[in-house]
Amino acid sequence: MKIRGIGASPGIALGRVLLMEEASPEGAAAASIEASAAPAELARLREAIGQAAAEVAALRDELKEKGREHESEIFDGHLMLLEDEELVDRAKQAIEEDLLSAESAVAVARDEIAAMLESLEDEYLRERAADIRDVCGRIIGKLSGRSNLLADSGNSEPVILVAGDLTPSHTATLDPQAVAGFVTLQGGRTSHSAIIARSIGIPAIVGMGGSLASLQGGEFVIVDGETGELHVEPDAATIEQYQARRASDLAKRQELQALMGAESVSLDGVHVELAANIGSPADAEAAKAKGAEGVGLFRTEFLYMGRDTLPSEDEQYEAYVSVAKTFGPNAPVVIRTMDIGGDKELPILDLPKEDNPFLGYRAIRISLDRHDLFKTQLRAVLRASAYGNLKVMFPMIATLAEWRAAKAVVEQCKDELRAEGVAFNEAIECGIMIEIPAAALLADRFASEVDFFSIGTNDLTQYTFAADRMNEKLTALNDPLQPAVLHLIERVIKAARAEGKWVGMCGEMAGQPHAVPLLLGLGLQEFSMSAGSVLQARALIRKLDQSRMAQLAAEALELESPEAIRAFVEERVPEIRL
Amino acid sequence: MQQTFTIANLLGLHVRPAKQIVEAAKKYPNTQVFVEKDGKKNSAKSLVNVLTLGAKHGDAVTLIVEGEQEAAALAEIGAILSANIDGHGAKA
Repeated sequence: MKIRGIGASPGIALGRVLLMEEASPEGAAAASIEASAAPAELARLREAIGQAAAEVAALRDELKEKGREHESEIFDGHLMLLEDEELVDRAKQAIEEDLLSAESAVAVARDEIAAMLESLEDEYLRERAADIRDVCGRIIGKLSGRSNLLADSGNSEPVILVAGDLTPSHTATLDPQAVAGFVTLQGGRTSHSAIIARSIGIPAIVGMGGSLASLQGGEFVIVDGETGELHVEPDAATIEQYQARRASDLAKRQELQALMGAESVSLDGVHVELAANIGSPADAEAAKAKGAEGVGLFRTEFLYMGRDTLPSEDEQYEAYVSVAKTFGPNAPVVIRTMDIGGDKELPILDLPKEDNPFLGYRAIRISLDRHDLFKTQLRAVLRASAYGNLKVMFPMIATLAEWRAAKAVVEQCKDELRAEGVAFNEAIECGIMIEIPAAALLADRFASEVDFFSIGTNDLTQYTFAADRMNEKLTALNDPLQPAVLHLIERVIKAARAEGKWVGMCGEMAGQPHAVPLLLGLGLQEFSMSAGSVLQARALIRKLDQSRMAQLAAEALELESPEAIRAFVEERVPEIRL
Repeated sequence: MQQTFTIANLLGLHVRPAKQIVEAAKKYPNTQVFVEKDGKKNSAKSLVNVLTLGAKHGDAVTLIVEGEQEAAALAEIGAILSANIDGHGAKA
């Protein structure tokens, strides 16, 4: 059986399920007391809070000493919550007026406050409900004399912990020797337990929902924290396959981890930038943790999809600022204006169904028609540019007229903001995606006007070969190592560099081991890929000599097929086999 | 006395700035300090109450201070409300 959740912390873990029972499930029957017992209950409450606070302070100090600053800060917040007047007052009131036991009173306060937090709009604040539950669980644990921490499972083999939700306290005190991975029903990528899991490197899946109800404990499972897949009682072949993956993963990860923060520079001193393609602010955090130096493609569609209204300027602004903030003031973050239409439907725009969506009314073609949408997005990007090195990129540009029209709208938005006295980066760079052969062919003319190019190889390939990239029968044509595509790429890079403009790539190709040596040789400056490939690409580039790769690329351009090019690269660049 | 501030922190009143507000408010034991947004008036001496205000970047939050050292408390806490604690300086 295979169940899917949200991959929260990458890696593979194998082991038997240990079901974690909650210390005091919500909705448990409330215990009443006699009015005369209230003062004694209040005293118990005070004592339990004091004990809990001492425990949290010790945990905080221990984490701080180990250099785990971020986690230590979380417990600093818990310390404040333990003494929070709202929390304590609510619990006191439940004892004095509702005549509840101290345990039940804390549970009532916990549920009320958690509900208040969960009703907020902000996802981050909603997830703070988990912190309230953690703090209250600790107080209740003290009251009932039970430890809130994971009981000794008695297992000598590492286990896979399965819980409704893991509190930050649980996660931070997990022993990676005893717990191979964990799976929770609740939580998202930004919950504290997910963040801590990533920082201590325990594979984890969150947000499984009700699909785990059938687990009894003791089942053998495999956690794939990358894809979010949980395999329950897999067959021997699957186990073997994952064990092998785990072993090679670990070895490779150790090698790659050493390159976190290292420069992406070739043997002969040519620096390139390795950036990530992201789809949301949450991706940005994950990308940074995987070594990305910036964002080469922020797909902004997510802001528009799956909702009944259009995202407001403020809402978009917050999303862009949040990404800028994740990467810091200097790291480049390329924001691609929305690529909606065609196969990505947006009900609110009421776009007609098309016969050839990839060749249809989409992306910049809509933006230039709908200045209301376009300006809302551009104003949001411009305002956010005051907080980081943001750049604007237009998708699906085919003609110079389209580029100039789009740029004119940017200038119009700048004029408006200036008149309103709103801060933005006056020198914000504007560039285009090169994904339509028409633009690649005239790259030299575009190069004199734009600030940068980013080559979108997925679409560039399908448009060059008139081959739908969703059609499985056409995968051989949809190969970016086709000589025709390589020639277009060479042309675009040359055109940009002749004008002193920078040129990047944001297609899958940018992270492929066979392509990286060729692209480096052709003079590509920015490689933007899925974040998981960044360290691998860095490891490769650091083993290559750029001038040797330039020679390699020149020879590869003379070859006749993707197969020949692959074989040639394999033969001449053994370094690609990491 | 009271004054309205615009939340400058890019992430809104998240845990870090909220904690600073509570710490500052608690320095004035004989003063009542409230934060008010959209008709919701909460004590600024409780982290829970400051967080459940749900104040985002750009929201207007009114700080209400009653008791001893009103002006000092208003200035100190107002500075936190209008500080960009998590963000970067504007460069435009």
